[in-house]
Amino acid sequence: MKNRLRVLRAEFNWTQEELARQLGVSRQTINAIETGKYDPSLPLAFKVARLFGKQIEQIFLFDEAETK
Amino acid sequence: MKKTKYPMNSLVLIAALIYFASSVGAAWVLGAFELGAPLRIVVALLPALGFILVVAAHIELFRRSDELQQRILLEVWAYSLATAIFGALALYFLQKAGFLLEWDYFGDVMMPFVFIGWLLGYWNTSRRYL
Repeated sequence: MKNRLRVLRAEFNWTQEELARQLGVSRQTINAIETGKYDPSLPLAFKVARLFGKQIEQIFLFDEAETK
Repeated sequence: MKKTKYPMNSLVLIAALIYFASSVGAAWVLGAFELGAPLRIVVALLPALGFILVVAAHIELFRRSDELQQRILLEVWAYSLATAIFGALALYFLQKAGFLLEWDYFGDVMMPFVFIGWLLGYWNTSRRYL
């Protein structure tokens, strides 16, 4: 699943470490999400969306082709 | 993710060292001394206490990990157990065929395979996710 996490983080001028601290996860988890290696759980995706004041689908972009 | 004073991986490592020391120590004591039955039982069960420490340290590590770290840990344990079972079975069949007659399954075979599987699993899952 693609996402706009890196772009949003840059807009807020946060480091991966700062974002990780606010979400209660490790920096490695943020990096894995940003690079598309890991898709977050629904609760974590909601936390990300609330933190940036956006809807989940504005951050995480569902690609139907990936699920086929 | 909760912050701890010491990295939890250190606790796992310390527990593993205690387990290893208790295994080697118990085997040495049982071989070197003529102990009475109650004391032999206590010494023989010492490695089991060490193993409980290892399991407890892993459970604590799991609880304090975030969701990606938990996934990695579960995959690492799956690798580890699969490697141990596969390795022990392979050596069992070799033994049945007349090779490796002196192997003691749990002490000599299972635990080293658990460790090797853990390392392989950690390398592979870390490469995929991190």
